[in-house]
Amino acid sequence: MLNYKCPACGAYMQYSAEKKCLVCEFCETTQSIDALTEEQRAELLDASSASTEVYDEPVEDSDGAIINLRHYICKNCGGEIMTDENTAATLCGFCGNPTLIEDRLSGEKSPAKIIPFAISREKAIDIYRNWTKQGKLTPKVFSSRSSLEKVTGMYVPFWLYDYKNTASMRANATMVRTERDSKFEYTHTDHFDVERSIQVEYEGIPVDASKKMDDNLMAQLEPYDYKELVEFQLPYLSGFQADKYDYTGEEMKQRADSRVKSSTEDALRATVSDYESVDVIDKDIKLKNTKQEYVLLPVWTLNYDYEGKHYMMTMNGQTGKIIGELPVSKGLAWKWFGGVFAAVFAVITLSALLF
Amino acid sequence: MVQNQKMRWIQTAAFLLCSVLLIMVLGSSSVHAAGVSQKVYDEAGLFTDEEVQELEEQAAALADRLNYDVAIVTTDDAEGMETYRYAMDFYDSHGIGVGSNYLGILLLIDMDNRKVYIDEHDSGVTQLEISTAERDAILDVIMEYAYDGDYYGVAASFLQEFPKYIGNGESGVQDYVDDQPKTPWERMKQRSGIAAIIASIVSACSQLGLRSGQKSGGTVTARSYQKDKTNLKRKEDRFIETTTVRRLIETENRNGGSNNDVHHENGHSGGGRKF
Repeated sequence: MLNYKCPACGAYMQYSAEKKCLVCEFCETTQSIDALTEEQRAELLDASSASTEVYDEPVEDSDGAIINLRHYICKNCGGEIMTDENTAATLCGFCGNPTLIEDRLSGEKSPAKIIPFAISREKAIDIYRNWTKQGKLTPKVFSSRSSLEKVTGMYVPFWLYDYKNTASMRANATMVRTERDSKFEYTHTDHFDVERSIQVEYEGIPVDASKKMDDNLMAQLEPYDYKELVEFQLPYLSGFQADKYDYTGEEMKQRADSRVKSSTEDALRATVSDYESVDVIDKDIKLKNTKQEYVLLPVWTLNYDYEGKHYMMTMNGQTGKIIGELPVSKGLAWKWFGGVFAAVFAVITLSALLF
Repeated sequence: MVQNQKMRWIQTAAFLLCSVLLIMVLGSSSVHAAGVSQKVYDEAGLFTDEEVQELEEQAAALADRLNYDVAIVTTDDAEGMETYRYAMDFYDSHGIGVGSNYLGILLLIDMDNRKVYIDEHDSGVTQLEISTAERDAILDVIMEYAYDGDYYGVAASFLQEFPKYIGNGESGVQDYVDDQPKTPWERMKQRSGIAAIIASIVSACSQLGLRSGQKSGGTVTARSYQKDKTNLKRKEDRFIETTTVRRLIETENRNGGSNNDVHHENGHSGGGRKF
């Protein structure tokens, strides 16, 4: 296990989305990640934390599968940190000490790139709070600071796929024109044999590779701005949670294939315009995956249980885009129903006095 | 403190009660009177004074009996308008019509456009409206007088014919009139059931709207990740042939010779014929 310690006071350092570097919470010392040499990086590491792994515990998950829970001792407070097999970065549940498990993100498991968090924790809470106010039926307790404090920053493993696709089609197409004289209207239909062939390239089709995260939620968090992708370095994870991928690039490729296939078909169809009707008689789509890359993308998550139902809200940690469903207060729903009912009923019945 | 609150409740209740009573008084006085007294507007001078008097009496009696306004209008200057437009404008600008829906019927003899036109105002709220076929039946009878230049005959036969059809005959009209609530309280009572249904539907719809506001989402397609514009490698459009279909254009004059002119607009519906 790794921790980054402040060269000035020895406290643990975390990555700051606002300052875009490691920051000590106690003495506010900052340390740029890009400028770190190997020696400086080694110096920053808390060497004593290397032997904190204590034991493994096999347990059964909700699907009946056996997973290996790994227990660590926090060097800061002595508390026990529990992780599953894929956790690569986490925080001590007792003192908040940022902890990285290096071997889960090294060698083949090492991500090529990462988009560091651009939305800080405080800003994420503000964005969530503003969003909760948009929902008129949101229970008041949910908008409270204590509920929103549960927001967690997480790097989610994604595979990015590049494609260079070719597609061709043949179709019967028609154009219709009309003319009329004093007695008749003439409809002329011109028939064409149409052929098209295109090449279309895609860059960075994202597919999330985490079992924990809902695929649909993750897909809706897009798009990320890939201009901010940087070479992966462990210090970016300090202060956040991170998982290594659960699925390999080959395992997830099918999902990327289906996304680009329909988009390539649309691009091909868009080349046949200005016709009244198009009847496709032959079509050939060839997908060519040219590159796949393992990256970590930033996500703020907020889990909330309300009246027996679990709600998971996610936010793009780079753009602030929120995906999720706010809980509904039955009391507020009935108040709105009653208010609208009374207003409409009163307007209609009182209108009888006038009309 | 409690006393003050009580006082405020009493004041609010009194204010609401006064408001309701005021609305009732204003409401009852604003209900449209049962038509206007003049029924015949002979602007083209087609009728003698005696004929005007006679038509006035017949039309007024019919309007009273049916609770449905009746007007007979003649003109030799349609002010550049088409007959149907002149009839609708005349109806609206002369306060013709009974009740809040301005129910009534108008016969226009337009000497400028040489056309007889029947305009009915029903707003689509009652079952009184004359159908196109029924209007044709009335026109079949009264146009015989128009072709002979007997314009009094047109008006007199109109007053005899239209009650046969309106609301499925006079009894139908009377049933409808009898069913209409007379006082604001009766109307309120009648509307409360419909109001409850509409209020339930609106409330349910508002719930759907509010609940959709609880969700946030939106997917992007793979197109967002397209690197450059689509590279069009091949584009061929080969002309094969042209097929042509010919259709006979139907005109009014070929449509059985009735030369009907039918219009529906702003609660008005009507039709007429040239002579």
